[in-house]
Amino acid sequence: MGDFFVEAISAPVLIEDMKRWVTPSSPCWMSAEECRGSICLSSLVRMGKLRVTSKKRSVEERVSKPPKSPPPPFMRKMQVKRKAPAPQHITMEEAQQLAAKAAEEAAKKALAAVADRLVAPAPVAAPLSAEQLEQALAKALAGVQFNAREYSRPQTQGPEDPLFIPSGIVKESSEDLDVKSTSSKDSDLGSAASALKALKKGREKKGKE
Amino acid sequence: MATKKPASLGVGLDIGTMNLVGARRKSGETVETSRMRDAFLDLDAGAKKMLKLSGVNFIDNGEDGIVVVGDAAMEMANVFGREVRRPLSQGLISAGEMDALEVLGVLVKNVLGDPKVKNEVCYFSVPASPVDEDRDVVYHRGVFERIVEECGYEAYAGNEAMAIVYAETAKEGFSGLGISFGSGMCNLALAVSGVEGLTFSVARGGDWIDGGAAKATGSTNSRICAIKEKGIDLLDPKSREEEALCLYYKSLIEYCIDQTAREFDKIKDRFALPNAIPIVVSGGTSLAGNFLEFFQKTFEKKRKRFPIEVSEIRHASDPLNAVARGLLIQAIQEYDED
Repeated sequence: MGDFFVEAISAPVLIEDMKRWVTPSSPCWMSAEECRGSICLSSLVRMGKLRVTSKKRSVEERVSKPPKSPPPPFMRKMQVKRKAPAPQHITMEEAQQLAAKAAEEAAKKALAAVADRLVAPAPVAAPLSAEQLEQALAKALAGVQFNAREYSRPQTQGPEDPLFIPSGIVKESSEDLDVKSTSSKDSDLGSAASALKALKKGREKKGKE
Repeated sequence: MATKKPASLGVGLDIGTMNLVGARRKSGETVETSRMRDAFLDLDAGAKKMLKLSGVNFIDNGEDGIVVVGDAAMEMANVFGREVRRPLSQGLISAGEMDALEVLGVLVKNVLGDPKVKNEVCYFSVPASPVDEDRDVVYHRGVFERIVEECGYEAYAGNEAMAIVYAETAKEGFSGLGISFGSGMCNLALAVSGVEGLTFSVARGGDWIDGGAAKATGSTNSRICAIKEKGIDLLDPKSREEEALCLYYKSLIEYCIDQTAREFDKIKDRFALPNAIPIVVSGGTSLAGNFLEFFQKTFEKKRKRFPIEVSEIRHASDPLNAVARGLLIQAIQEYDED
């Protein structure tokens, strides 16, 4: 089974039950189990805030796992062979100079940080509660324009949360596949259709009377 | 010179957890039904060559791999020792299947084919909300309405079990209790003179039977499913697994009868049943050997306390296609015929 690539469509999103943030600039990978286990993820996908696609991770992105059994040739992943970086040879003197330079820079940074605090202490922000965070997020997302897809609400009554029904589900270039078709004589169908039509006409007449 | 009568317009589409079935009337009294397995399998791009040589159609997603859909997905899953993925779970769009929508679009487009005229009417099946689970059908209905419209049809949703009433109870004036025993769920509808009085579903079906029997016997779902498909006589089980299957079939039937009684009790004051009505059973799960007799035997034990007077219990004339036929009957109503 492949992993799932999760990306935020236009604004940062918190997947509450996973305690995980996803932003447009930093999408993430999740396993199938993680995706199925998260109700918030499904809701966010339906609301059009997240996009989840099934992809195969490249070797660089995949966490290493022990193979279960040798897969068939065409299922074998492409192995990208990396070259080990060439070892760099430096003298003892050069190493000591580099260490001294690093220590000096670290000390300067520490001094600068202390100096800033003495001059103008940074305001200590109180940690945000989950509710405050949700409110802030809701405010931020309220004015966001989604232009990736169309929205439509179903005509019938439904739950209070808005439903996102995506468009463009049926692709123009969809493949023609094998469909099992059978034709048979069905005289009952015609008579049933006529009977139903007559029943409805009779009901309409009664209604008018 | 005799002029050809044009083929009737309108199409019915049954969307099930296991199969998608389309029904369309050809000229005369011929009905064409088209079926595809509601399943898909994703494979690495390297499998392309092999599938092309085998003549298996697939969806090419480039570097992201390929997707085999329908009956071929079941066959390829056996070849690669994998499980197929199903876009629907317990009768509704699976929330956990992220690739479900695209696959459903492909399946529906292939089952329906091109419309005969622009915006040809298509009635598609929608299950009733389950009474034993907190799920609604609003999203499911909205997505399929969108898919059918994008295929070039004018989409109308029709209740799955009511379709059985329309297809099978014309001689009773469209009065009856239709039960669709599906793999993901069972749908039930009670109607009098074509007026829907009660519709609901239960989140148990053929898959529930397989799972329960497998757990009870320490077997696997696929082994139990294979035993079932090989052929089982519900009145004469021959092995431990078959006995377990029979017990679960009985439990499912009793559950449906009890839930019908419970739901009817809620509406009986405002929905009168002037005469005894038939019960019509349908769906793939009802194809087990002697299912009808088994159902009748189970029902007889509950008949005295059942609040609805039942004239007879019978099988749909075509259990696998009854829902699609019933939806086709509704679609035909949208057109005036000579």
